[in-house]
Amino acid sequence: MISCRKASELLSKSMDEPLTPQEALALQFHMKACVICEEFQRQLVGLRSGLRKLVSGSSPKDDSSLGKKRMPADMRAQLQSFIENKLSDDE
Amino acid sequence: MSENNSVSPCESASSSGDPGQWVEEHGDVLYRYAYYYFRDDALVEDLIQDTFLVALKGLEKFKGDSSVRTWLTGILKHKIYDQLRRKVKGREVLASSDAEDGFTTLFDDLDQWANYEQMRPWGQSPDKFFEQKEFLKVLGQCSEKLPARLRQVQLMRDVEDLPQDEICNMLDLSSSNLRVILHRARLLLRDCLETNWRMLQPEGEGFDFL
Repeated sequence: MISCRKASELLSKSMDEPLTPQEALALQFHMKACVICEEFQRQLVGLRSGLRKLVSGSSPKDDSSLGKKRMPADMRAQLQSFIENKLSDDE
Repeated sequence: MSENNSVSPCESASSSGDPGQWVEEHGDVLYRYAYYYFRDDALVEDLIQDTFLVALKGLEKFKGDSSVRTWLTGILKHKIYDQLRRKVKGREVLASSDAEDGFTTLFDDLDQWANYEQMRPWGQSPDKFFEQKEFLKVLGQCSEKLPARLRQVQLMRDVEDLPQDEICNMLDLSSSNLRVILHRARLLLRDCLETNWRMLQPEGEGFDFL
């Protein structure tokens, strides 16, 4: 029987590519007997979903309640004047 | 949310791409995107400025077939990838011994989960755990704590869904290298959340080991 360490490697690998038949079988046996690794798999999937939501999810104006980062005020001001300067250059 | 019987001039201007509104409307989204990759405000500002420069030049060609946000994000994404490619030239070597130290504690001598008795399932409540505010907040903090290369590679794979061989090409990694990096990133992230989020929840039912 493969170890949890090995199973965790295979679970991670399976998120990106198919396992070999031997790997798939070994993992299957392990998962039948190991509730922790079963939970780890769920956690891996949830972490991926969470990251997507966090990094690239568009959301309503008030993101601070979600702990989402906001552009610092000085950067806002800089970028705004950058755009305004460019726009007036073209006139 | 606004009512839609008549569209105000301001709304129609921003939806068709009024650059004067870009910072206001899309600044946070763009900032967040680049920040998670680089955690360097000066660099992020440069990347976003370059993005706006490209967008302003291409404004006439932008017909509004995708949303402004999608368009700007797409340009920024390419700037980010260029930057990631550039950084590789310095031949960063993954300090494998450093990363290993973090790992020897996660599994015991029998290669089982070291703290399995303290572990609890994450999904106790009916809500999906990864949608909870507190989870996302800690996830952001934990992701920021990862070594840069691990964080960047994980974002490219787990958020951008880039195929593995593309990541390998861009960053000059072997496929086995990439697998190791992803595995480490995911294990570290998971462990960080177990400690800094799950363990702060009210103690739920343990695992049923039978």
